[in-house]
Amino acid sequence: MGALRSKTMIGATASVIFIFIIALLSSNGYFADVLGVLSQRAGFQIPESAFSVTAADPLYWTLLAGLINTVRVAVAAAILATLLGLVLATLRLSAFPGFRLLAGLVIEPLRNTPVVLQLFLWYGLLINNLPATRNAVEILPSVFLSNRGLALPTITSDGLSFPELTGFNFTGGMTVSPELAALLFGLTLFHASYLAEIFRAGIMSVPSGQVDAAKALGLRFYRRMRLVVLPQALNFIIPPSTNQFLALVKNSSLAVAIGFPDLVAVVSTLINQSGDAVLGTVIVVVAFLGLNLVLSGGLALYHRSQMQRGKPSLSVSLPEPEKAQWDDWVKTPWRKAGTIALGLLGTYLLWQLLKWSVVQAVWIGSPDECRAASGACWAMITEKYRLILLGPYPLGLGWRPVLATLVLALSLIFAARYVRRKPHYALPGIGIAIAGWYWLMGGGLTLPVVNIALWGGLPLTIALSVLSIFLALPIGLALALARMSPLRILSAPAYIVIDIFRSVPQIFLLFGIAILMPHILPAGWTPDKFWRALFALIMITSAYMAEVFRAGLLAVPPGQAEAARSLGMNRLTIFTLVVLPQAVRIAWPAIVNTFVGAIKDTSLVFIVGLMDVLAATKAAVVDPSWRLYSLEGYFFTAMIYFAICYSLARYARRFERLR
Amino acid sequence: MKRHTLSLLLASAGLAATVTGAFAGVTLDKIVERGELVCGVSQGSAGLSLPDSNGEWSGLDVDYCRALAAAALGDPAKVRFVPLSSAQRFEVLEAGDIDVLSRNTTKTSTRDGTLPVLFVDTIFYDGQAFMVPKSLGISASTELDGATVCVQPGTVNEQNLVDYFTTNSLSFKSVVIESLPELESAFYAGRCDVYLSDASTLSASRATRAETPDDFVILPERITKSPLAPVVRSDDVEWYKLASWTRNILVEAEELGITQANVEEMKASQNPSIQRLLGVHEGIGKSFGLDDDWAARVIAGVGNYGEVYDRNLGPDTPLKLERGLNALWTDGGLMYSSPVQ
Repeated sequence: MGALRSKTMIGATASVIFIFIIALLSSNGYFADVLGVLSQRAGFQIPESAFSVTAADPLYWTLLAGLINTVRVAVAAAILATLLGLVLATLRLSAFPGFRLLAGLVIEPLRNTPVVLQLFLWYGLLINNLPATRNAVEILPSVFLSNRGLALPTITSDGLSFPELTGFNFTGGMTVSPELAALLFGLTLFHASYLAEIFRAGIMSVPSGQVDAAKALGLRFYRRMRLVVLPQALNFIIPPSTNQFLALVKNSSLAVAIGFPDLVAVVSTLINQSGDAVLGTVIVVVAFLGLNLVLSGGLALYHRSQMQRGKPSLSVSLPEPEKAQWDDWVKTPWRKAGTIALGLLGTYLLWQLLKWSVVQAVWIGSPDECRAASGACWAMITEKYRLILLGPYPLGLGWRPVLATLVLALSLIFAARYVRRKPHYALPGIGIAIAGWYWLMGGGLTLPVVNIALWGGLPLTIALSVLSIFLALPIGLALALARMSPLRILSAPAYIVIDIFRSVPQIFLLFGIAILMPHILPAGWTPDKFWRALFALIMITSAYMAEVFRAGLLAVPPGQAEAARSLGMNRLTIFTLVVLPQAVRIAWPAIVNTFVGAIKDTSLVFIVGLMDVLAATKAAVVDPSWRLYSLEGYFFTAMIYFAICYSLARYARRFERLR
Repeated sequence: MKRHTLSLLLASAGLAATVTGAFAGVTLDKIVERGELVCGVSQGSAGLSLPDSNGEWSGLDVDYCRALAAAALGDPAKVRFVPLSSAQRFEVLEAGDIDVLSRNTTKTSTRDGTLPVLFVDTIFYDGQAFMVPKSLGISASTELDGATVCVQPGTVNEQNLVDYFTTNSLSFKSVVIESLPELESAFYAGRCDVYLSDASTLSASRATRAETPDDFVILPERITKSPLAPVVRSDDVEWYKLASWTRNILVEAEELGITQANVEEMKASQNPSIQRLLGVHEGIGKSFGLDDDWAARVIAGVGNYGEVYDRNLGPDTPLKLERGLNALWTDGGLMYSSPVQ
């Protein structure tokens, strides 16, 4: 109860103080006017909602429709993701290595690419590859599938209502739009892959003696899971899956990227239209702090009612799946059959994939040649690779961002190795590396100037990732220390900053900060959107990093500091030489996972108009002649993200095993 | 001592530069020194500014910049084009990275009032219209009841859409996608029945982004007005005047019947207006810090307004856009130049 109450208190204080700050910032009498603004005619119409909303309805009604859209997508995706996550976890824990392999092949690509990229991919497939309304496919009686969505019969007060093609669209029944479908599908798959790993860890935490005992009692798999394993695993599963559900609620706001009217999309339209960024920001922050509270509070209550035995684990480390022995594949006749069947299926799928991606693919050529071929159209990448990789950076100067990125990444990694041993070399080194990177990117002195608006592609993604990670380390540590401080004056602001940056969707933080920054900074000082986006990314990563550091610092046995004190060390030395190194060592896997999150978060900067590698890919795939090959474009970029994120995640896991 | 002399030298050089700048315009000096005009254009809008596969730019906005280069440097080819998104266009102009912004930009009271820029006279009168697939068999926008409309959220377009449908008691479903290329991609994929935007954007989009342009038709109604004009910084009024009169020369030349082909013969004309424009007697060049031959150079460089229009947007181009409001005032349009005298 204590945790829940303090969480409620902090959330409430956070929102109150935030509103207070905004009220102070905004001009006199602003909030007296809010009710007036909210009951004005909205002036824009949202494409879909749970109840009827038109442009003539008051603004609060439209905002409410947006909030309900957010909640209904989140609830539906949470249920579907839980079910799919359970299936994947069961497969991954199977004694039969074939199933483990299968689950891994599904889970790893989903976990190690940005969810927004996955959404673009699904949406592109839906609208480009499904038939037009007039050629809608009737997949079941009275169920029509077209690029306008899925039309289904529904029950109304007048009885059954069937969809019918009249005029422009299907009327009657109900329609699931492609936007909603892509969003649900994308969120479900992405979060199922995370939940699967949490469930797996939870199930593995149940002592094997329990399973053996259940087996001895003759319980079959299903009853064993339902009666013995899952109830015990829940204790370990609930805290981390609470975080997953919170992330899911936040990610539902990626709807704005594909045109589904959730709360954030409605608010961003409102801001675009009225220019009133302050009101919009307050609405989103309060709504998400509220959703966060309801969800974490609800799950905490449920957790308490379920917790009968065992201690809850605060962090879940992911055990490696057992290494498969050949014997495991063929131990029983069933497994032999399964191995053969999977082998055949795998060979068939692999052959199909090879056929699509290599044998029948077009590597160089025109869109017409692609249309004639049945394989993948890599010619699209051959044609557009420069746009995807370097964005709008001027032709002929492409070597500069490549070199700049190498200088930045290598020297920062190098400096990180020496920052503890030789800080007087490493710290200026970091400064020189950043200055060198900036000079190579932007020019000046002897190099031709390149306006910051033209920076883009992979160098932009890497620069945003590397800079936000490196600057978030000290800021995150400072936030963690402030939050753990016994002084209210330090801990309260840290609480609020961490809470807001962790509760509000990243995409809205980027958007809101980019818009609000010029209002808060002194007049005439308007940093480019690159700097605004970088600032937002640093703050987001710092807030996550702060919690990771805090967990690490709390996990260092207090005896360590006491022992150091008895040796006569002062507080600073104790912290830097004894506590911090151990905390970092303990938290290192989680820190690296935060890096992975930060890299994936950079894919959201398209919202402020930056051309990172994903935005550049989007620009490439909407070229009309290559429109049908969006899959290839997103696939290419997904592989870049996967290569970076998966190797970092493997690296983090290696540390976990060492521990 | 040495350093002292140097700074004195620099200071006087700076002073000299400001003094001459006051006469000829700082921007013009910079352009002459650089040997090229830097012109901000769109990232690709057929008929207005679009690069071909060799990076060669063409379009109405592009030809205006070539005309300006012919005026300032005597050579319409001495232009460097910088493609800009609509969000970054004003920032880049204000930062001084480009000399002129010629990028289908609508003049509005807000932009004129809040930005440190000046709008030249309109070079293209645009307005919002609806585009639909021909297969729907629709000929007027009043038949659009129940249609799905592709529109950018939070834009003037969206507000106008709502107003238009409300006024005419029609219902619609919208598909709102923030980025324009994606929105167009959704329209051509059949996600919506109607695409709402400026007529020029629609015809450009149809010509370049539709697989078969003839499958789509732009309905005749215009539901708003949007005058597109070149933009310069407001800190150099001399340059603004030169930019304005380059636009006027194009229009005036059409009115006087001077074309790219006949500009040399026309110098022999007895019409005093033509003589003034082409600098035969007491031309107009000096007042703008140029020689009297500059109008002739502009016309020889790109032709008159009508020629520029026909070459880029007219019936013989893939865009097939009627002159409409962009006809000369003498032909019932809005194109008008202040008198050259």
